[in-house]
Order: sequence, then C-alpha cells, then structure tokens
Amino acid sequence: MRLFCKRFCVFALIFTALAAFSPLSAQETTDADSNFNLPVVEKVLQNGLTVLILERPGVPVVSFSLMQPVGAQDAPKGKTGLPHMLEHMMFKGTETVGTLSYAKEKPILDEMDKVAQETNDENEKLQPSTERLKALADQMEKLEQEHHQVVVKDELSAIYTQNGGQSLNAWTSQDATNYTITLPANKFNLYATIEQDRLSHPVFREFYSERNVVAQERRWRTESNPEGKLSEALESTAFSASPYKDPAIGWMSDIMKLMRPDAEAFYHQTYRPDQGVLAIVGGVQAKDIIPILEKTLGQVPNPTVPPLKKNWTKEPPQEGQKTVHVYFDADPMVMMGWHMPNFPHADGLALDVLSDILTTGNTSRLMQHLLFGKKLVTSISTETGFPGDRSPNLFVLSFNPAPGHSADSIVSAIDAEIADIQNNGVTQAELDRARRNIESAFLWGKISTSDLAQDLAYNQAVHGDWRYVTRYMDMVRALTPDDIKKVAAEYLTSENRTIAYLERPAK
Amino acid sequence: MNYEFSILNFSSFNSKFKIQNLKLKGILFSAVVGWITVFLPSIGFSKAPFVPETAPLNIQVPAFDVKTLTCGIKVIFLKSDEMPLVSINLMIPGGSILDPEGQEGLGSLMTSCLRNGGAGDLSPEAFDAALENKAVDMSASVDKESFSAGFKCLSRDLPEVLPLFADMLRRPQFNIKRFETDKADSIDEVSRLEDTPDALTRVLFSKALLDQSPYGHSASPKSLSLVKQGDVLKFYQAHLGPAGSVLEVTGNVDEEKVLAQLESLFGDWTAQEKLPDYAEAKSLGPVIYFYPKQVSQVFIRFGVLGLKRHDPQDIPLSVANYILGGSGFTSRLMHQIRSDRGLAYFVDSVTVPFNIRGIFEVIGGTRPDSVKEYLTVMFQVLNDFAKTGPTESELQQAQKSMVEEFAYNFESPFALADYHTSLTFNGYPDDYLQTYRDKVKAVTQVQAASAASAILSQKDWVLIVAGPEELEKDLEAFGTVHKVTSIFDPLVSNP
Repeated sequence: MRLFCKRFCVFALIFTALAAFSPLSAQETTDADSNFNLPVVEKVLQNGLTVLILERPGVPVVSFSLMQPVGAQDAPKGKTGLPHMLEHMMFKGTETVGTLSYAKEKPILDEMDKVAQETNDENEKLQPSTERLKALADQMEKLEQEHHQVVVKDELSAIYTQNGGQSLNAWTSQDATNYTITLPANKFNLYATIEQDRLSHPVFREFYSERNVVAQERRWRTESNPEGKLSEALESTAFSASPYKDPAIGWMSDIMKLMRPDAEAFYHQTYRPDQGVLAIVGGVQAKDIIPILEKTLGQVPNPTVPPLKKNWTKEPPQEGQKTVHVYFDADPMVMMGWHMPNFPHADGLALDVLSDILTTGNTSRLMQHLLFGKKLVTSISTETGFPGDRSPNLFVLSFNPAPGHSADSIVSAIDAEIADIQNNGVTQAELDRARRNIESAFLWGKISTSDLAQDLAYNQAVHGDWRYVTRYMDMVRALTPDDIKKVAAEYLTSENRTIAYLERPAK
Repeated sequence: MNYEFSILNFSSFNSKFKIQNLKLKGILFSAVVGWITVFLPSIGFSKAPFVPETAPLNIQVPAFDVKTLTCGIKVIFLKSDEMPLVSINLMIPGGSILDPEGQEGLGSLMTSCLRNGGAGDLSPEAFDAALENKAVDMSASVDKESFSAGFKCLSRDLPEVLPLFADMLRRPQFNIKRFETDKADSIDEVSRLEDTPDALTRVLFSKALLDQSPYGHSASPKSLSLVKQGDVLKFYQAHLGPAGSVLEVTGNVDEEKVLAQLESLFGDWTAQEKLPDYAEAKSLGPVIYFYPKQVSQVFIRFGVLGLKRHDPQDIPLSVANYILGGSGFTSRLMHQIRSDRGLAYFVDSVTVPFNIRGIFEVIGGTRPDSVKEYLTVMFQVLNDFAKTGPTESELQQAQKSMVEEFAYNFESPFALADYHTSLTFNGYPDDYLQTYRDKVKAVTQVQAASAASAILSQKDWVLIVAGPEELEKDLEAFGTVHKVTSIFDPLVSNP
C-alpha cells in the first residue's frame, strides 16, 4: 500500500464544509487549514471496537472497512502467509452460515487437521515415505468428499451478493488486514448482523483446499509475473532482519504446510475488537446506526488469550550497496530501493515530495531528462513506503531500459540526477508543483465511499489516528526546498541502496 | 506492485458498471424503512443470526442536460456543486479499428503524440508546464471503437484549461522529437506484451476470434516501426472531428458560460471522414493456440463470438453470464473450479458487445499439472449451462443481485456521467438507466437459457493457453493445437 495514497484519499470531503477552499497556492490555503476537519463521528463500542462514521447524505450506498492492525509481518516463524491465509478463511462462513450442520461438520474438520499434521510431520522427515504420503492424501480426499456433503458453498458471499453487495473483498498487507464491502444504504442491518456472526463464530472450513487457491494466487501474482518476481527479490534482498523481508503472501513451502489450528490461534491472538477499527461512509446516520452497532458488533467478545505482542526485528543500517539478479523470460526491468523511515517521520514526507519531483508528470526531472531528453528509459516511476509503513521501509525507483541502453548506464544517469539534487537542491517552483499534485491527488485520487472508509480505518488502525488523513497536507506544506535536499543527501546514497535487475535467461 | 494480497482479484471482473468517486447532489432517493426478518440457516452450535432488512431504495436517475454545438458535438452536462472540480471527457467514433493494415498501433501512437507533442503556440515543454503547473491531468487515448480525450481540473481553472484542450484536439504540433520518443516507448511497450501470460494471451485471443477484421488486429514492433510522423498527422486529420462525438461536462460549472466557451472553441470544427462499415469478424476456431512460456501459473482464455451492440439478447445474456461466471464467488465457474477443487485463484466470464459481433470470454489460470482438470471442468460447466441454462432459483438470485447493485452507479456524479455518456455515445436509448432494472427483472429462465445456449453452442470456439512447453500434449485431448512462437506472427489456421 503506497503510504502516500493511503493518507490522501479523504481530502475531498473537506470540501463539503469548505467550498471556498482552493488548493492552488499555499498562501490561499493557509486560512483554510485550521478548518480542515472531517465530520467523523467516533464511537468506541462497549467491547472496545473503534467505529468511525462519516455521513454522506444523499448517497444511496454505504461502504464499510473493517481493519485489524495485524499483517503479514506478524506471522510466526515458519508460517509466512498465515495472516493472508486467515483473511481467506474469514470468507468461509460461521457455525450457521456456510454449513448444513456444524455439529456434523466439526469432527470431520478435526480429523482433517490430524491428517494435515501427519502429512507435515512425514514431509519433515529426512526420508519421507511416499506410500505414507499417498495414504494420507487419499485419506484427506475422502474426508473432503465427506465434508462436501455438509458444506453450503460460499454462502456468506451469496448473502451479500444477493443484497447488492459490491466490492466484497479483503486484503492483507505487511501492516494490516482489511475487509471491505459496499452495500445499498438500506442494508446496514444486514452488515451488522452478518459481521457480528462472522467475528463471533467463524469456522475455517475448507482450509486445506484453500491452501491450494493461495498457492495459485502466489504463482499467478508473483512467480509468473516479472514485476512480481522483481519486487519480491527487492524486498527480500533489501531487508535482512526486518519482517518486511518475507513476502506478504508467504513463501510457497510455508503456504503448503499452514494448519487450521494455527490460523485459529492466530485469529484469537490478533483479531480483537478492542484493537480493531470499523469505518463506515455513506448514506447512513450515526444516531440511527450506533444503537444497532452496540447490539451487534459491540457484542463480539474479546478473546481471553493475551494479545500478540508486536516484537518486530529492527533492520540494521545497510552498510553497502546490494544487488540481486532475477532471471525471467521478459524484457529487462530494474527496481532499486533505498531504506527510509516510516510514517510519521518528517523525512518520510520530504521523500514523498521528492518522489513527485522526480517522476510525476512530463515536467518531472527524470521524465524530462531521462525519458524525453536522453531517451534512456521507456518508463520510470518512484514510490515511497514499500512494502509497508509501520516499520522503516523503502523509497523505490523502477524503470524499463530503452533498447540499446545497459541498465548500469541508466543507473549512472539516475545517480547524476540525484547528485544534482543533493548538491543544488530543488527549486521552490518544483516544490510548489509537487504540492499542487499532492493536493490534486487528495481531490481526485480516491474519493469514493469505499476509499474514504479504507483511509479512515487505515490511519486509525495503523497510525493510531484517522486525523492523519487531513493532517498530512499540513505536514507537507511545512516542507522547504532545503528539507528535500537534505533527505536526498541522507537517504539516496549508494550504500543505502539495493538494486534488483530482471534479465532474460541466457538460452 | 504486488504487495497486498486480496481474497479475490476483483480487477479481473469486468463489471458493467464502473464507479469511481464522489457524492451525488441532485439525485433524489428515499428509503422507506420497513422491517423484514430474513432467517438464515440455524442448525449449528450458535444461534443463527436474524437479519432485519429495510425496504428497497427508490433511486431516481437525474436529468442530464444535453446541448448540441454547431459542429455537431453533443454536450452532456451533469452539475454537481459540492466540490470545486470539473471533469471533461470527449468521445469520438473511430478507434484502433481505423489503423491502416501494416501500421497497426498508429491510432494509439497518434493519441500519445496528441498529448505529448505540443499544441497551439506552445512547445511540448510549454504545453506540459501549462497543464502541470495547475495539476491538470489531461490525456488522450484510443479504444477499439473510439478515441477519448479529457481532463480533470479545479473548476476555477476551467476557462484557462478549455482552450488548451481545444488546442490539443484542433491544433496539435506532433513535435518530431516527441514523436520519436513516443514511438520508441510504444514499440517497447508492445514488445513487452510477450512478457506476461495475461497480456500475450489477450493479443492472441483477439487475433484468433476476430480474424480478418480490424477488430482483431494488434500492434507489433514492426507495424509501429513503419509509422512516420507524417502518418500520424494524416491519421489525425482524417479521423478526429466532431461527427458522432459526445462531450461530457461534470461538476461545479456554470453551464451557460461553459457552453458559450465550447461553442467558440469547437463550433467551427469540421467533420472527420465517415467511418467505413465493418464486416462481421470470423473465428479461426475450433482451435487451440498454445504459447510455450516457462511460468508456474498457466493462463487460459476461452471464447466465442458474442453479441452485436443493441442485440435484444443483450440483457438476457448479461443475466446468464452473471450466473455462469460474472458474479465472482457465487458464479458456477468459480464454485466448480475454485471453491470445489482449488484449481484456480480466479476464473470469470465476460460479454463485450461491439458494433459488429463482440466477444464472450472465459478467463482463468491454473498450475501446469492441473490444466487438464481445469479445462475438463470448465468445458463441463459450459456444456451444462448451454444445455439447460440457469435454474429458476439461480435466475431469481441473479436478478435480485443485479437490481440491488444498481445503487452502486449512483455513488458519484462523475462516474454516473461517464457511464451515461458512454451509453449515449454507443446509441443506447435515453431512458436506459431508468428502465434497466425492469428489463433485468423481466428476463425469464427460458430467455436466459436461450441467450446462453445460442452463444455457448457455437462450434468455432478458440482456446488460448500460455504455459510450460510440456503442456502441449495435455491440450491435444481438447482439439487441434497450434504452437505459437511470436504473438506478432500471423496465426496458422486449421486446414
């Protein structure tokens, strides 16, 4: 999730209260800054669940974002991808949704766990027995057929879909897990009821067949995609100690031995109402829905087990440039990443602006000089906050070399551009243009109800305060050209950099 | 970049209604609150939830104000004053189907040069600066059957930005240096289509299904390399103009002032060349094209010719498609292939009409050792559906979903205006939005089954597969397999 976007999206609503505001110049906007407020109604339910409600009268839909501040980096050792697998499991229903009889189903699920554990144990042996593994696979298949008789496939999705649910989806990043849906505004009660049930009585059925789906997802997104492969290589090379070194989807060998009981234990440790955030944006009224929320989602109990303690390993300073080469049947691509601090460190904000100055629009430095000028690249872009922004992360620059130019010659040209900023800084005009781009992104970027809901929930769950959504703009306005020069010099150095090259394998 | 992982790849599901942003003022709706209790199954450990539900929303479609400029451009206004923002989008008939043979990709390159090549009295750099200093996002692009150009800006900048927009469309410079850069970038972009199974199968699918028609053509590094600056200018002069064009103006605007300015900027624009008539495309099927690529996830596209735009079967087929593969988790294909067997992360089906017969496509992917099983299940689901269509209960559920989802179109005035404009551009009746839900509700089981059967029973299907070399043998069980070594070569057809 690009840090930048995440904090920007809700800006548009400012205009509901601030019609005279114009983002054209700092001078004109200063007066308006103090009025930046979103009319968000905050309510902490009796079980501790934080609810953020933004009313948008006249909009016939309502969007929900239920966010837990738990992500891929919280996975236990040897179980990378478990938080993402758990996210898939949350769509499998409850003790009453998705089943003909949970009483009949439960012993089958328990038996499947045993077979899966025995399979893992056999695979861990120095010399696993193929006969034994075959017998266990047959046993699992038999259990799956038996289980099939009592399952009602995808019933949770069907209920939402039949009621006009759109964007029923979820994502797991390194930092957080998010569940979204947009419903017709008159379906609020349906959401509250279904989600109370989903959080109180989830059943992780079809766990072991879903492992295969996740494996397919990994093959599709990462292993068969040049950009996916390259970004995974960048991540796992640039980080040597931080949990960001492991991909959010998990390593294949871990995915294929994930266990349902692990997912259940992790669920109880991490999906706690008193740590979660629910953001609601759309055609509803807070006064009407809060009593309903208290009676439904407010009743979801907090688990009795102690919450997971965050204990992330800190990435030590990098002391020399790292490189990694990925071979794939595709034209060359390059990604490079410099370590940078995570939000809300002021240097991170200056790097957000530097990113804009370097590659946003035809007038940006690298587009002007390297793409249109020297024609060294056919595309070039930068981003900040990769692959998450709860721990120190990366400033990433990606480019496709133009045919006939070596990747290294382009890296040298980029180095010269960066050196120019390190030595001579950027102009006030460049900073102003970047700021206007950022302000425009506020307005046009993500202003649907669902994006608004996600932004509010993300900033509250990950950064501890939804107000960063609007505060971010003030923080950017405070930056000067010297701040940009300083961060370019401090962070964009070769010893702090990792370069990942994608190359076609020699035939 | 891929560093979030979702339960479902929604981007691959081509929803008929695409929504982006903002609140809609001026659209009236009212919800009558009635309490209906829906009982969910209750046979388990915990008590089944009761779902109190409200009555349906009464959504009213806003009145779009439609004017016509002297040159013939139809202007559609949707006013929304909640934010000081304006979005302008012009759709012009034509598109990549107009690319001359041997210069495929010319239309796309022309639109890049239109935006990047300078306009009016401004050099490319000065034009870029004039836009970007105001954070104006202006672009031009091409689709199969249309050219589009548009921008987004603050409403107070509109009087200054509209002349730049008119300059781009009417007085482009096509600067030679920018032309060379755009051409090189386009060639590189096209050559990278062979890098991912998704993109390369998309090109092959179009070529195989829409054979001998400009609808099936696609650019190659060679066809682009033959384009000269003069070709871009000639193409522009012949094909960009006001005839049949629709301009959408949405947001915080003074309609009269904008209309007067548009008239002064575009009123004397002369009509472009008349569009040729296109013959129906022919499928090369039944045939399998296999592109060997060393990847761990095989990409599979299956398809047949679909419907022509405005075909009476359009809505019945949309409903049938929703049930078959268009509704995500609840579709038949998704159930059988993903949920039951874990054979895919995603599988979906889409129906896309053109001015000639369009396409019906099933898209998915699986691991190399399960391609045979995936295809067997997919063909089984398609055959069953072709024979018997949806069940009455599937039909009712789909209709309910599609009717309820309609509210989603009204989340933002900008997205609603985009949708309405594309309907107008494509000749749909003015009351399409008002009558859509009733038309969906009126579809009978027999109609949906018959629409599905007519499409799925066609024998000249094409199957495109990209995956490891050793798959070729598995594919032979399903038909004649032709191996493809470059997506840019002509396809070999069955003898």
